[in-house]
Amino acid sequence: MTIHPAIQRTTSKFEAYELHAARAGREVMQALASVVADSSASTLDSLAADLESNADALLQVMPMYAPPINAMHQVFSRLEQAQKSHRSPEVFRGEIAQAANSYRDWSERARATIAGYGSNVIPNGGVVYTFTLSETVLGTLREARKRGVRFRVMVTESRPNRDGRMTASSLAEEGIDVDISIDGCAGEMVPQADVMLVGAEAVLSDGSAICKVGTYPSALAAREYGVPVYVLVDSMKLHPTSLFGQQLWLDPLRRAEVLDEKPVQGAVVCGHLFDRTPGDLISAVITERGLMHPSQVSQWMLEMPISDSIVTRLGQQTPRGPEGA
Amino acid sequence: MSSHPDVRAIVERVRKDEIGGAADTAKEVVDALSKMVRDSKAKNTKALVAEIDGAVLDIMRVMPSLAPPINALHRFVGTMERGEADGVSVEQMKEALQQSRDQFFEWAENALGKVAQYGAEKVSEGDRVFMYSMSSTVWRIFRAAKEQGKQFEVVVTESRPGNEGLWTVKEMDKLGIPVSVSIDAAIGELIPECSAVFVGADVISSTGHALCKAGTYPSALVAKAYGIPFYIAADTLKFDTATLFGLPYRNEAIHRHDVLDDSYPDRAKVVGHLFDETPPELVTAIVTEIGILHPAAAFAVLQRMNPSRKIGEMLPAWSRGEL
Repeated sequence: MTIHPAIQRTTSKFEAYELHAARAGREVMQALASVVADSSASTLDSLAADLESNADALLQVMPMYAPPINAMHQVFSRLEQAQKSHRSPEVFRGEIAQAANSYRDWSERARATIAGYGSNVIPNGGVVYTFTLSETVLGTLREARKRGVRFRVMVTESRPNRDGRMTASSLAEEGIDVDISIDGCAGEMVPQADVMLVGAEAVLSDGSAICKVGTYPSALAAREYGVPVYVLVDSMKLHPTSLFGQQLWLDPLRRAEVLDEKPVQGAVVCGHLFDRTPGDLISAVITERGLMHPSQVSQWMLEMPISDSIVTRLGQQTPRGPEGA
Repeated sequence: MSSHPDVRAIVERVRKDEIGGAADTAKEVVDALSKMVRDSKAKNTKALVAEIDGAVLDIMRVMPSLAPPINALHRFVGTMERGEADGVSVEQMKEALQQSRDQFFEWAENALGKVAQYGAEKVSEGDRVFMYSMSSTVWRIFRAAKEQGKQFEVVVTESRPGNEGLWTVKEMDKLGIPVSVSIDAAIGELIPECSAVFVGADVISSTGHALCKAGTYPSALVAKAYGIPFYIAADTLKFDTATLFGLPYRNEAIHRHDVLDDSYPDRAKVVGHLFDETPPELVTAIVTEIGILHPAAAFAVLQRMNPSRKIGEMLPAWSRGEL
């Protein structure tokens, strides 16, 4: 079994932490479509074998973001359907090519729709607190500005990669006032905000959201001060197999990110790149279908394509240990 | 400006922020004043009091919002005020102030030992305890618990921007206590896995609010959400008399270069302070040398302090920087 060059490119991007959740979904969809398009398999079963080995290569390194998992569900549920109804490889190839194309369009439309809804919750003259860097949140802030809403943004740097600084510089360069501080100052900043907007890596069936680490303590401070918390996600961020109790294994922090100089022999680096904000701290999930109570995502998950073979593969995943383990 | 070299030196050191901790500042201030008193050529009590008043004013003018040195001044000046009221001779006054200095030093040493002893009772065999940033008082608690033969682990985060949490990593390693470290944002994941949280404080207010390193307040919120006991270790010198009068405490702003370098646009502003405030409803207890107290007991602690009238009168102008 050979691994397709598009899959290899994607895995190396995952290894270099270059793909955030939304982009990872688009990238995995296109890469799997390339596998299907370029496979020399003459039967659906050998094409399935090709797809499976490529998916396994991805799953080995892929962070547990919902969008790429959902891209896999989309491709593999179509494959399972095609196998059941004995379609030819050509028909299946055509279906996937079309699915990949419409995915790209769908993703852009969804983001624009969310930006519209999201900008409606930003009060004119208000202060928006956001955590780290989110394409969806940035899109929403840009849309709000385009509509003439005046607001200021607060963000913290978001260690370890300090992505919050990217948010600050992008907004400032576009003429939006932005305040930035260290993550420890969340307790001082959140109470000054009128609204908290964050993106997520995944939303689970219990309404909780997996977000960049530090989002949960910020959401606690927001509840304390009555600041509404909105999680902005398109439906590809919903993790449908959480309905079956399937967890998402989170990436641990790397040792060098905390103890880079003069390492201490006995010290262990602990913690993960993401934390879980429970649904009862979330005022609404803002999706392309509109604003909903976090508990309502489970209803939607029941409609989503779920592939048996991806469910099995996810069930075999084990938590990634600390670096090098 | 006082002419005594020790007083001049302490004023300079406080002004330039050259002294490590607030407790050390308190000791140095009292020591400098007692040396000035010892060397004083004052012929009568009134002249000695005038000399002390002048030196205290010099020191207060440069004093940042640190409760311990101000409380130390309350003790020292309070002794002087009682001597004045009793009409003591200049020799008796000198002796009383020397004694006040010695008692203060003895008290300071004993107080931290007692905080450690009481705090260690809250560390149990097999515990995994979380601590935020660094605090030599909390370190003493862990050392005392270790000396009692308890096996436990410590979890700490780096505590940006100064990364004092990494000092804790080194200290625990030196004490042979297993230690894990992470980034500040990970408190929401790490605290729920711990059995207790210990932090030090810079200031305890009369209402039981605690001013601690930025990030302590979110940690307390997480601990509350999971029902994990949250202890603040602070001797009573950290209890701030100025807050009794409703005066604010000073809080240092985070420097721009701690967050952004020069490549970032000016429109992106760096905000936030080095300390945040943890309200008493999130605090299980404050571990003091008096004992393990409910945070609301801060008021009673301040009532016991017998504050100096002169220092009290200086505080409003001092807090506005107009002294």
